[in-house]
Amino acid sequence: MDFILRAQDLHLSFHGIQALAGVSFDLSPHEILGIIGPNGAGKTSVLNCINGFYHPQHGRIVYAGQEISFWPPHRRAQLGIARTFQNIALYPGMTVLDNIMTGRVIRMRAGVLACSVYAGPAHREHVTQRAIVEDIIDFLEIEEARHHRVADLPYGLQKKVELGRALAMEPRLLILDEPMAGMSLDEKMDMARYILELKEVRHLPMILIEHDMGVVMDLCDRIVVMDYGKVIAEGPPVSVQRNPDVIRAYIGQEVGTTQG
Amino acid sequence: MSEFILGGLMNGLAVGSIYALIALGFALLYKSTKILNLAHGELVLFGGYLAIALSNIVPLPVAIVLTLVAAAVLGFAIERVVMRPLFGQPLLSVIIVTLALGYIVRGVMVGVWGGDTRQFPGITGGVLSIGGIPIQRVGVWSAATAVTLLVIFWLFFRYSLAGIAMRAVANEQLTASTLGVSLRRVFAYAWAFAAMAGAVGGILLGLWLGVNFALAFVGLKALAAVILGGLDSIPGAIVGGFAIGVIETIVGGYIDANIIYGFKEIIAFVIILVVLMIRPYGLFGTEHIERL
Amino acid sequence: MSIRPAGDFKISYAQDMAVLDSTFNRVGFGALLAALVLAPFWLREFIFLLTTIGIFAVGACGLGLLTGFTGQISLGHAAFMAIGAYASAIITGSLGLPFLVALPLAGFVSFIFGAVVALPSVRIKGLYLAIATLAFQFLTEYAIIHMAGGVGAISVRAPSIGSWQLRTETQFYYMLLVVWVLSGVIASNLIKSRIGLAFMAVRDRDYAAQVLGIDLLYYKALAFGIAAFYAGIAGSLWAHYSRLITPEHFSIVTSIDYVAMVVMGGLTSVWGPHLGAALVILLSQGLKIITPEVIAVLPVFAKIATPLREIVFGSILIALLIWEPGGIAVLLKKLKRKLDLWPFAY
Ligand SMILES: Nc1ncnc2c1ncn2[C@@H]1O[C@H](COP(=O)(O)OP(=O)(O)O)[C@@H](O)[C@H]1O
Ligand SMILES: [Mg+2]
Repeated sequence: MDFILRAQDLHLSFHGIQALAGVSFDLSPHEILGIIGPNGAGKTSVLNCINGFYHPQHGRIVYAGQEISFWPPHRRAQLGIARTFQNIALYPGMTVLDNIMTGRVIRMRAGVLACSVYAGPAHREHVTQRAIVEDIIDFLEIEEARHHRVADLPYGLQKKVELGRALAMEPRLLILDEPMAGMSLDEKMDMARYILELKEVRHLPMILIEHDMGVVMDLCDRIVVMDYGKVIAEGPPVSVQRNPDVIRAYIGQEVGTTQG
Repeated sequence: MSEFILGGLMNGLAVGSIYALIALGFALLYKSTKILNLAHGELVLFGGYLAIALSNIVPLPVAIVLTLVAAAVLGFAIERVVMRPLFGQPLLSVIIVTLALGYIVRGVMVGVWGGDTRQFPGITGGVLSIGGIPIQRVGVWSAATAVTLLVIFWLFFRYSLAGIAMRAVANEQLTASTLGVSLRRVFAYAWAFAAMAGAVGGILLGLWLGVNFALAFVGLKALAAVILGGLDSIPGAIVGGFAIGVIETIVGGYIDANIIYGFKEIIAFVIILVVLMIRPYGLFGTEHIERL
Repeated sequence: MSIRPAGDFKISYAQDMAVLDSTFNRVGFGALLAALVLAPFWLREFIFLLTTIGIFAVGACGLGLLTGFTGQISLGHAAFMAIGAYASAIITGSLGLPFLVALPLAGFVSFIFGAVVALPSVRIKGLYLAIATLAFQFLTEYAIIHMAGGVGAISVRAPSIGSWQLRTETQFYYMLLVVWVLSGVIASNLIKSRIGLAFMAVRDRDYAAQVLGIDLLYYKALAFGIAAFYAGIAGSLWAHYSRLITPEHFSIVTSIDYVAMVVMGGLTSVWGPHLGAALVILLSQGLKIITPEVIAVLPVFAKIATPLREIVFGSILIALLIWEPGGIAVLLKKLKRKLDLWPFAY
């Protein structure tokens, strides 16, 4: 098996508006795949098809050898597909710690009775899980913010927390929807460092949607370019960068000149 | 049997026209403010009680006009005193506050005028026969008035400036407010309008059936009507109102008489549950797909 | 930022997550418990007030978990209380089982109903769910009246534990107190556990919860089930306390009272349901208690006593929510913060 995820001929429309018109690509294990394209190209819709929020009218999603096209989102998550959202989808009223802890819920086993007693197994389990969450907090260097409500944090930090929550699931495939949008240069460098480390150390395959071309070119092993719900180019960064179709789709945007 | 159905249809449409009017106020309020007003039945009660009390002092038409003015004032007052400070609060807080409002209105009504059934003075019974089907004279008049008012409200909503502003807000609160539509004014209009629609409904039902505190339950029938029609659809509310009237009279009446007693009282809830299971956004409502 | 007295540092994760995490809380809880245990001595003939508060607090605890922590609005909580009450009446009556068996069993019967009612809640959300539960409330009332016949009233045996019959108000109160404290502690434990975390994830952003592998259907059904369980327990207690139940005890008015309790008490506080139950019961019972006295002075009052309850109740609810949308729990928290900082005003 040379791919961990395959999107095959996805078609999706909303009330007559065609969001996806036959999108196909493979993601191989240990690879970072970038998806780029103008706003409204259908990038987020592809992710929503992969993790089960949208159901394509036509096409299949195959993950780790099984077809998951009709699985509900939570089952796909339990298979190890984790993601972050373009517009942060954290729990604003909870602390950073609790937010990341929600990523551990599926790893917790305490039954309803144990939970209602809490002292004993449920509590011990919570302590173990807390240690794992603390590791993630260390990894993302957000110790200071641990007990802060997420709503009170600056945007860039929230993006980090959302990555942390996804990592807490111990994912086997990580999907990042514009993880660096709206970040300062420093924050982008941090985020890029985490992504590289996840790839080098944990060999975690990733799908990355990002508008910053410099970042995309540096981080991704392969790039899929989308426009109007279709894949218009695919390949390693250098070749995509020179592709005339891509340049046409990006008229007005200077491909590859912004450095991250 | 066919007589039962024809008679049911006629009576159902007559009472349905009043439900439609009440439901219209409910739906319009929801559409422009996103508030589910569980005190709507109490606004109906308010109209009925006040109009009866006034009609003991002044002639009926004057009493009705005064009641409508009072309803509009009540609507404005509710918006200004209670709803505006709660703007942006969670759904549940707003719902429970409308329930509390209902308590207050009902408490005042029953406290002042008592809970017994009261009739409008000088309304004579009399039964008309339309195509061989007997129907109460007041019922016919009430229905005719309700239909006329439905048309007037409809025209108002379509063509008046206030109506257009309300529709703009209904479509997109944020956009409308950046375009200079005053949200506050629209909310105030919506409340006044809902209170007036409810009050008229109360008067018309009261003329027909008399007024007691149970009139507030009509609010729940209006709820069933808007769920059936689609919570955010004005035509839906009207169609829903007629439909609930007919279903309640024919199906409810039949089951009530032949199968289980009292079914007519709860058929509205059965309809609500069935619609929510099958098609939560109703016949004409818009389905909402969450953007991620 | 959390505010706690200086010198009370948390050391390990375990301590950081302990149940009653500061000296202040432990002392306060102890004092409260002592007051409750001694209540029959200082409340005397008014102990029935505390019994009523306790019973409704148990039910409200469940609604707090469902609405406050899972974000599911229910206007049909009293229906589950009715199911528990009638189940308990039948279990101890026709089936002849002891009260101690009937109490949890009534909870379980309610649980099943709750979990089943929750099934559509994956499609029906927010407002629509509120309306659906409202319909469920009315249909349950109707069904009970039809199945029980007449006005639906049945009489219930006095509760007994083993061969010991609970005959006096005080005996019942102590039995209730145990159930009440257990209910509160269990609710607070659930909130701290994985289940509470999942509930809050569902409440705050359901699609994000799904992405974390949290099964919405399972957790919503669980929340509804647990809420119904609590309501069922409250229903059973109420049945054996009042000894005669009619559907009127569990009407839409009671459901609204329940919602008022959790909203006024404070939706996202474990203390909220208890505070709210106390407020609502004291308000309505208090008005009932003073009515005869007022009528003695002002005879016209007799006519408006019942409507007055509605007016006062409605007004206080609105005033409280406009003043402090977070309810009494938040008011108290603010007060405590002021006291902590006193006499420095920052
Ligand atoms: N829930 C939805 N309802 C209606 N249209 C949608 C929805 N989600 C996406 N679309 C439409 O699909 C197209 C692709 O959107 P999206 O996938 O978000 O693009 P991108 O992420 O590339 O900017 C857009 O035209 C958008 O309006
Ligand atoms: Mg996007």
